[in-house]
Amino acid sequence: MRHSANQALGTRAGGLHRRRLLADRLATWLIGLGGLSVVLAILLIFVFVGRVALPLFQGSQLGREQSVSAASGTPMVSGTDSYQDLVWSLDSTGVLHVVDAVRGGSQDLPLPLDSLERVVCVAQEGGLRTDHLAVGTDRGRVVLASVRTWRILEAATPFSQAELELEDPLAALDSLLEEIPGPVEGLAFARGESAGLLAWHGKGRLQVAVEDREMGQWSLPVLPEGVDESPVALAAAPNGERLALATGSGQLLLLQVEDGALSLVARQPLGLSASPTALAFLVGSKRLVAGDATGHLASLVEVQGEAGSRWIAAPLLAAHAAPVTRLVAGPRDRTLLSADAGGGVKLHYATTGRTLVEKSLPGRHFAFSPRGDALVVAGRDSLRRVELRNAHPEISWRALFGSLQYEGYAAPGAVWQSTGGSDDFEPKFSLLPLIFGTLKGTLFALLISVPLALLGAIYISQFAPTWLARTVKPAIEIMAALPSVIIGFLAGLVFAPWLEEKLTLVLSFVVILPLLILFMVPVWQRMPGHKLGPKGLPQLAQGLVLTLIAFLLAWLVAPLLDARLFGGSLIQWLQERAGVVYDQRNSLVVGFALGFAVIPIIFTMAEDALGNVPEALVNASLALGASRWTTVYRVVLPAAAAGVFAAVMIGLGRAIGETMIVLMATGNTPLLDPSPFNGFRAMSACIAVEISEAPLGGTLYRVLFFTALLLFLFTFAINSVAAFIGESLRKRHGRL
Amino acid sequence: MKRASTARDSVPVMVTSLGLVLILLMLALVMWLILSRGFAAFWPQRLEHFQLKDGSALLGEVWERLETPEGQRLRLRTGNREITGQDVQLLDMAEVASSSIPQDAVLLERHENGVFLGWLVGLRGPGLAVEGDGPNLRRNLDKALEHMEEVDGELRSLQEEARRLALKRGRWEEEVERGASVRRVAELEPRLEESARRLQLMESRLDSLRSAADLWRLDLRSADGATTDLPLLQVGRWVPANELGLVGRLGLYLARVGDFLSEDPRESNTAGGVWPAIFGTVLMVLLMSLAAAPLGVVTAVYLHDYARQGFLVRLIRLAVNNLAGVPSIVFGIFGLGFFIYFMGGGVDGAFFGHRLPEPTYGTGGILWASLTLALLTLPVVVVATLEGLSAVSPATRMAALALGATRWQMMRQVVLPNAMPGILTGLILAVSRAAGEVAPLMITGVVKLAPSLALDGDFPFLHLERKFMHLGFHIYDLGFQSPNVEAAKPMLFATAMLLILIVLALNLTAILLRNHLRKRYKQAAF
Repeated sequence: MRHSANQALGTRAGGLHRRRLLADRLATWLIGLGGLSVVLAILLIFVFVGRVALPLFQGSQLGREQSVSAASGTPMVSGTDSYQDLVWSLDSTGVLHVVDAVRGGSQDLPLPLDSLERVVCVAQEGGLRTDHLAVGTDRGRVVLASVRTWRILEAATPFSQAELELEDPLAALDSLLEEIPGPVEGLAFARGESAGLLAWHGKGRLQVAVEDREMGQWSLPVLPEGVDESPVALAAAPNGERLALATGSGQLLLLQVEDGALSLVARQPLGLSASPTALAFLVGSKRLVAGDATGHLASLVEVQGEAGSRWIAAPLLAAHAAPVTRLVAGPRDRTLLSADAGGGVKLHYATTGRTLVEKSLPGRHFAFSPRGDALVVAGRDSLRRVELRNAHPEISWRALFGSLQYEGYAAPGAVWQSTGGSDDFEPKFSLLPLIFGTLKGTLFALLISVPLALLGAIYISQFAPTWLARTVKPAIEIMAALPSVIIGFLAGLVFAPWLEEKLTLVLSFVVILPLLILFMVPVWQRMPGHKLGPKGLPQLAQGLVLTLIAFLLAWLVAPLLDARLFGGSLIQWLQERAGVVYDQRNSLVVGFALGFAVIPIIFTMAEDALGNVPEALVNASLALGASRWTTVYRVVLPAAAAGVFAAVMIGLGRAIGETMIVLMATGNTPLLDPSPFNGFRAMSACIAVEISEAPLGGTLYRVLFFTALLLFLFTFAINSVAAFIGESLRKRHGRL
Repeated sequence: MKRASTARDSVPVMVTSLGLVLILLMLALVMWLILSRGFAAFWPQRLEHFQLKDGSALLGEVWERLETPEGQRLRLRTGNREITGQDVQLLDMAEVASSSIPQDAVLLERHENGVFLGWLVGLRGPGLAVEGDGPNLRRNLDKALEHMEEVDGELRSLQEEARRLALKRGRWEEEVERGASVRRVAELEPRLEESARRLQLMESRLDSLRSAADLWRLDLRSADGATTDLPLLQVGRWVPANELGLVGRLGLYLARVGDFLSEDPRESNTAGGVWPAIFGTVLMVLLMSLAAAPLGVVTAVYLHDYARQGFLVRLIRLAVNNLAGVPSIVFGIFGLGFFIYFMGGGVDGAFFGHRLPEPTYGTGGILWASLTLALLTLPVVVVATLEGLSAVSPATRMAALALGATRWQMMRQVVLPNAMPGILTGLILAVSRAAGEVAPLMITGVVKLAPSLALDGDFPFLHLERKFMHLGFHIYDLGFQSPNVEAAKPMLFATAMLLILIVLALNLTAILLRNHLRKRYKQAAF
């Protein structure tokens, strides 16, 4: 019919019609697309946040392997610069081969050795621009040299250049040195910010030289009594203040340099069954790893005991099948490379004990690039560079959700401490204190909000006159609209100091109010004229009067309690008697503030659920002679129970995600302590505080995204459950 | 439905009412606290003079009387920060020998170092020297302050002019550096020279204006008897606090409120006004509405009128519900990662490569903050629009379709106009939520002090990449990151009150609109 009408109207109207239809179709299409946008938005949030967090769990890999040059001679030590433009190795004849990986070509820089003198051992201390080497020869000599590199940025393709700098700091001490009458058997060398340390031994003689870096002077301290002068392995701590020696019987001797003097601070078994073969300190100088001839690794960490620091066994590192030949500490974190005689190489993370990479990579010497993103492997036949993807070695499930023995801590613990003062800092990424904080705050908030909101909702939906309900609902809505930053600021700056002063008052009020009700019940029931005028306001007024009486009583009782029981101040009493520390911004404050924020949410939803119970049910109950209260208690509440539960769930979801209140009303210290009188750090607040300082793509950045993902999943689950309950409830009540 | 309760009922019913009583009491307490202290923040107070037992003296406004076990203490605002080192002091009443309210004490509101409390001693200027407080001095002071205001205005406009010229010059220089054509360089060279000459001229004019203004000095005596002199240019307003009557105080109060609303913050936000924060909040919610409104309305229209009931609709409803429940900080971190680093980084790479590594859009800014909040408030718009759409009766729709309208015509010309109150309600609620939200903004572009507004007279006028100030964040910053929280408290409460009033006004409008809508819904049901 329409078709014929169009024909009658002629082509112009037909065009109009076509345009109309086109517009309609376009609109349908666009609106459909728009409708999906919400789904897309939530998917995008989930996928994007997850994608940022994902690399944390992708582990470390050794990547592309590139042969830089065929080696000449036996490589003793190798390395590269921070751009990996140059790769170098030093062979046993004392010639440094520097290979230019960018432009090709190579350069030989010889050390001033005698013609038949051979390098027998080398200790290396890496840096971003300079590698310090201590070279020991078969004639008992030790030479200090540094490989310095710099980059030419002006060129079209930037390249690097290297030079060999020689130092002869020991020349001045020559007269003091007792020559070692044979080859150098072992060597350790380190340079920290304020101290340097060089130790070598041979033929049963151990020599230690220490450097005062501020004065630029070397000296020879006297060895303490009882030091074994023929260790099987030795290592110097990166700070230049510690020397570790391993004896053939598996004993560890720790020497400490202080004011140029050496002292023996520890002598203890390493915990290895066979003779140690290698020893290395990790970054931070507070972790030590030893390997033995059976391929086992022992890891030790310095912890704070009651009587100063001591060294204890740290997590086991995966063992090799062949004797351990070399241990190399990573340049930036607690990554450690161990190599065995069978050509197997493992990368470990010492804090977690996790094995990052396992691969067969035969070579005589291994070195990390200064940024830790590549390995240099020097073998007899080739010099190779191997890419290393090791961005987040500190992350493991255990690190995120378990306890670890951290440096300097008395016992293993779940600690969140993402940033520290120095580069040596050991990051601690346990999410447990944060999750605990979030749950603690939520619990206190629910303890306060759920009873109040549910009681209020029952009253408004079942007993209050219509006029009261109509006034209260907008008020509650206003309450829901109050910005959380205002609630947080009042909690932190007004309520918290007040509560600190009036703690006894508040606690006695909380105790007195229920007691008063219990006490009033018999009195009330005996009162003949308990029905006072029109309903509604009197009940509310009764409630108000009761509250005021309870407050008055608490106000009278609190000073008495303080004076008689608590010796003047409850807070002092808590601290002295119970050992409970009272922080001004504590969990109680958060409970009240966060409770205040979720009350309107729980109230509104619970009121909705209670109000929607089919009237037929209520009428049936009343018709059977049940009283109003019995009906509410036995019929309405069970019928609406699921909806009320959903209301509490939604409130829980809001409390878990709330940021500003927990940020402002707690001290934000990541603690694992259930006491209501101290603060906590919640996941949300932690993200808010730390994300702006987290470097893009770094571990902290990704861990915070992971925390956000957890929050997202928590709330997603809670909201989905609540939505599901709400829907099934609607269906059930719809049938009635 | 409501039946008479029996005797046994009254106790449990009373207990349920207790819940409501406690909730309402908490709400009332919070509102009273904010409103009373917010309104009181600018109320001119008496200046009280305390003679202490150790011979020294203090002059100050009594902010708070604290009862401690050791006796009464006063929180006193004594001002004169540059002399005493602190604005607010605690005074033990046991140390006070006597107190009085000196009639002639004055309060000076200054552009630097907070207020000065003391007495007027003399006024010096070019060809003028008045000694001793009296009508003569006060008349001259008023006149001189008027003059100073003119000078200040001139200084400001000159500075603004110089700033713009320098900005233009910077652009030209950048152009030359980036390798403009020879012709263009030849064109720019003389301009650069000319502008440099003019900038120099302006500088010298500024210098001479400043040194001329510096000749005006006000001699003052503080409570400890020492006299100082202040450059008059620093003085904004002088108040004979103890001589003012009610009308005078009211006038001063209004003037201070006006300053609060219209001025820039000073002295790390503890003084001055919150104008940039108001501006930033408003601009941010406007931008947010531009993004959230269309998307929210379209989603609701799709859900209500277009989609067939089924899996997809349930999925979308689930998404809306969940989006409403996602913690705001998650939106924030998403905004940071997606909008700022991913999209902003992309925009920078494509259009602002010459400025890298200095980010333009790859750092927090008002655009990204608005988009983040648009996502956050989307469910609010959707839910309210849905309600608005249900208020349009099926009969109305049928009528439109029966007249031969296509579905889109029906939507556009009949349903949407009728659902407008619902859409507006949603938008208002979204704006109210955004005005109070802080956590996601903290990491997507809010700062404690923005150097310039995001909308100004410089091309291209609307600077979407700029960082901005926000009332909610201002509260957080004042209360928790300010070096001097005590001195910031009046500003803190005033800002909180302003924010609460805005949110209240928005919500009341939304509630009224929705009630209006519901009434119509009821009629439409017939």
